[in-house]
Amino acid sequence: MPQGYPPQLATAQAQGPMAPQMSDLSQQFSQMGVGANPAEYQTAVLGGKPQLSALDEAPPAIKLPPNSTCVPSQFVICPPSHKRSTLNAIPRTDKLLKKTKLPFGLVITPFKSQEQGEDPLPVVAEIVRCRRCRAYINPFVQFVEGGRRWKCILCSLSNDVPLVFDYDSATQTQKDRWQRADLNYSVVEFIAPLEYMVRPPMPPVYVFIIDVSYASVQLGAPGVIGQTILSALDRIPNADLRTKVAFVAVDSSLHYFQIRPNSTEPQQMVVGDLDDVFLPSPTDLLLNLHECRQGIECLLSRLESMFKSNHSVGNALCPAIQSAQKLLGALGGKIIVMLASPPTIGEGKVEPRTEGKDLGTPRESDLLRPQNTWYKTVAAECSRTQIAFDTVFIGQQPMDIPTVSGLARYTGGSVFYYPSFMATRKPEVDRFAQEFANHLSARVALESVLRVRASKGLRMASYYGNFFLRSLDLLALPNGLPNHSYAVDIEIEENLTAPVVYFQTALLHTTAYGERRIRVATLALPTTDNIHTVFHHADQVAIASLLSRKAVDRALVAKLEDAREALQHKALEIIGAFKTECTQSSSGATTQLQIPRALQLLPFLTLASLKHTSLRSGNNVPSAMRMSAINSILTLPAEQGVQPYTVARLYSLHDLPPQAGYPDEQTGITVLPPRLGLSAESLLPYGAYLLHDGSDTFLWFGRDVSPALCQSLLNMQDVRMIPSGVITFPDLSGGSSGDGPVAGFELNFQVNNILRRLNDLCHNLWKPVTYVCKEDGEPVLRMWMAQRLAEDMDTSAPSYQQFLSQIRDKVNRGNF
Amino acid sequence: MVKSTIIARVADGLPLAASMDDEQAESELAGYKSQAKAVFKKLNAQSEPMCSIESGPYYLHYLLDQSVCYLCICEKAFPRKLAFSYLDELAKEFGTSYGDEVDKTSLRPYAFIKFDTFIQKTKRIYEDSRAQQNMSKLNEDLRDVTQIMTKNMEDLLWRGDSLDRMSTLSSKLRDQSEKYRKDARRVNLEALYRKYGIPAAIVLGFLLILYLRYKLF
Amino acid sequence: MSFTAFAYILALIVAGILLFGAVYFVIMLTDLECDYINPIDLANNLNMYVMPEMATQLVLFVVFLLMGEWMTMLLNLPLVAWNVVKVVNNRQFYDATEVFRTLSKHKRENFVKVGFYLLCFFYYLYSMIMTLVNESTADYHAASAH
Repeated sequence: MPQGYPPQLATAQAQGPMAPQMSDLSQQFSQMGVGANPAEYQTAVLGGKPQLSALDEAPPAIKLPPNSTCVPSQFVICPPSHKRSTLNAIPRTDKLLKKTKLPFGLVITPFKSQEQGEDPLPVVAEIVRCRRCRAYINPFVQFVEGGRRWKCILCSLSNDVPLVFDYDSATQTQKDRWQRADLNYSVVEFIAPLEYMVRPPMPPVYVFIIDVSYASVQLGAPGVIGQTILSALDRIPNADLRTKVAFVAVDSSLHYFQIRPNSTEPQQMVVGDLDDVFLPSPTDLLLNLHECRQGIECLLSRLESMFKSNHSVGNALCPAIQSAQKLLGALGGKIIVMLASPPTIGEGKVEPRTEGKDLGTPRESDLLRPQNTWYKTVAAECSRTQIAFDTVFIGQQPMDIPTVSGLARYTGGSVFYYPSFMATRKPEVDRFAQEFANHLSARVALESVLRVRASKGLRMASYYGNFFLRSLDLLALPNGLPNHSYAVDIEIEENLTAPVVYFQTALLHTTAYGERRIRVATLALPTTDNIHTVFHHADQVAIASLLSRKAVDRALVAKLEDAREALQHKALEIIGAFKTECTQSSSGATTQLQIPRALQLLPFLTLASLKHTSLRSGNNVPSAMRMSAINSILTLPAEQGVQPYTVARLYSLHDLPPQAGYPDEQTGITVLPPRLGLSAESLLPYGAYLLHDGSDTFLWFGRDVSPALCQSLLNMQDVRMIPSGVITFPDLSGGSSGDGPVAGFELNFQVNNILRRLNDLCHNLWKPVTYVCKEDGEPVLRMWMAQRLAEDMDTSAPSYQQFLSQIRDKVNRGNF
Repeated sequence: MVKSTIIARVADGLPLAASMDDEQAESELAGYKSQAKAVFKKLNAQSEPMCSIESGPYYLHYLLDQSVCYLCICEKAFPRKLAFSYLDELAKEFGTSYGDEVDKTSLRPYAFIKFDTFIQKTKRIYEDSRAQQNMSKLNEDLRDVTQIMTKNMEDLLWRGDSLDRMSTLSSKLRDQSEKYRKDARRVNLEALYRKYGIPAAIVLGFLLILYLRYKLF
Repeated sequence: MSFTAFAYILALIVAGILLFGAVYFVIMLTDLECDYINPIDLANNLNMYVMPEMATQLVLFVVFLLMGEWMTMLLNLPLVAWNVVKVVNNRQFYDATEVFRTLSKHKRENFVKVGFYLLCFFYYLYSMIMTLVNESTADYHAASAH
């Protein structure tokens, strides 16, 4: 298995450039006749249904000129899941780039976790860097002067090759330098020596600020939170037993819990005077997880009973944050804020914002802006002392997520939102418990900073994501998370003369077990003067991811309408530019719009982004929901952000192919059934369908679905017996570990396997809640599901066909 | 009280473990911690096994044990006996847990940072120098602190002083005593000049003035 | 010495101070670009002087308004209006999290301010001299008339 590289990529590349997949839709493939274009530049005609299977393909191949690498290794291509560029063939001049109207940027997941089936990243002990530009050595350097010096790829300086490359002084033997991992792999981890440390490596530290006010107790949140953390205690990274935790309960006063070294009973200390925040005890509030384990377990299991009858209504979050800052001092760590009511006490208190009338109007964009800058300022200060925040919002109360989530957004943390949480609703409790436990067990990158370096002539213009920008090109991530990703806009400042340009990302971090490491990913891309090459090597998934991030960022800074307008206009510009530059009918009107095969889904992806909760027009998206969706778009990696989060997956269950849901013979991975188009046309009255968008799963049943199907799937005699709304999808197969289905419940087994595989593809980021939606059932549910059927028209945007004809008209008129 | 603790390898000064200090300590002690690093660089196999170095308002006490140096930065008021008893406890625990792994060449910095939990626990016990337990430790005469060498940080870093052991110092002393004799003579002469120089100069000046006045007459 | 002249002397001094202030802002912003200072320190540093600067400018404007010096007042009007607009929209302070995004705008704004204060400085100087000259000729005529 290739190291650190997903199996799909290896096989896709083995097959050669994109293997066309025909479906029963009307697509025509025509050859390009303008200029000297190789026959493989295929274009598609925009029309008919979007071919969604293209989303599962690998991005266009990166064709480097021969001898670009010093060692012929198959691992020199940077895997797209680590870093991908919107253009896999870079235009040499800014003029050319502007002509294509394509966005140029990178989508980076710097601390990607190791997948199942992937080998761990190679680790290199010696760091070799260029003297002038400080770039790390990588597979693309050229060795000159008989191998005594190496030429840097970014600044072309010749550096000396250190002795360690050829000679191992410890064992007194010769080494073969061509076996070195940093010359063979494009993604490596270096072990950082003392110069890269400002202080001894910090341990993982978690401070939980838990809302125990009346609103929270009504939802039963403290109890569930206590149980969740209790069950996750073993999964919190604690390899060297240094992990520290602290708990602060918040209502109108602050409750601290102290566990003395030799006792197992937590002592509660209540501080009611909040004008001048102080810690009630100088020691024993920040507890070592291993040593105070018993006390912590006792505390967590008593959390519910301690606050069961709490009627206090205030929320002193701001003093709690200040005292948590004092508690952590210079150590740093993660503060996890868990709120069920808005902060009402302290400098950062939020006033409730009435939003009913403003939704759907231009004033809605004001609702997305923070109402005070206290949280942003605190976040900025905390990033200096290596403190990061996660914010968890529970329940329906208006907690002003846009304001409070600033804590997480500017320190590289996560934002979670559980509006329908209630302790009595098991699926919601399961969802919260599993997602939060997964989050706590994530291997964090402590006290980390990220820098992107590129070849001469390229400049990083702006960055998108959750981080603090410490200097023009340095992103500070006090507690970096494995699957957060960042996007960078790149500008071409000078004409690029070299045949290959390079992007090198370096993440300096402390691992959860106290080792200082640098993860370096080097991406090499060829340059070209040919506009056709640029268009045909564009990566539509990366483009969609970058554009949706830019749009969402615009919505936060300016207005939602501007963001939508800009997104639509961009798609229009790209298609128009292709028509003008690359087709024969460059200036006249055409009945059919042509688009490179690599970008054939761009209009659909644009439409899906416009219909997504984050940018959706209309007056039925509460700003809390919208803000949470915006934050997800900003942090999800390109692969998960586009699919399934923006473009859901729809499968039919009544005609599942026999091998779907069972492991493939060769790879052992569960086979997924073919996808259906995201339209109500796909939903037939006698069918049952599964729609998965990452955080939710919908089971749609037609009126006439067969009773046998209901029996095999849910153990119910008839479709009328299936309850509408939230259900816990049963596992009737008796064994999830591939023993095979129990007779009579094969469909259930298959669907469970499919769901597991879909969750794996999302790195288990979400635990989807299953909703049953019937053709003749509740309209609310049907409308909610219909929002994800991106090809159809709804209140917010036109249908795909209408969208295409709008684009066609505008392009033909030259209106772009 | 003990402000900070660093444990490093004698051979190359590589830090192996350290205490995670709080905010106040970090900002005050930044300078002293770099001085500690300089001290590590000066250490070698011939160095004095126990020493207290004075620097500003703090003492840097260190203890050498099996090619590992245990250093703590303490306030001047903190009793030396307690400091060395503290270092001794750390040395014992560290030696048993990690002693044999210390000499690996490929060791990364702060390889044994997990020792920091033990450091913190021990530090707390020694925190209150008036505590009952500690009083008994003081009285037990664990170490005869009069034998512990004392140095000054300025001398050490900038005036070429060294941490060499007493035995090696004695040979140096012999060489230096010869020089001392010559220096002493010179200084004596200078002292003579200083003592009688000024009156002599005054008398000479007076004579000069008289001579001139007579000349003028 | 009449009140007008005194006001112009004061305005001269104040313009000098504001000029130094604007130059200081420009230096801090270029330091940020060259990574000599981090955005949080910059924001804390500069935000201390934002309101005092605006208040001083406003006071100067009001003084000239009360004194009837229309030309001077008109000269100062654009800046005061710009300040008022900023305060109304709550955009006057530097935000550590957004400062890199708006860096070029801030730099341009402060360069313009430097130029403007320089212009103001020389204008007040000229006005002061003119006022003093006029006063002394008036005194002379008044004295010679007796």
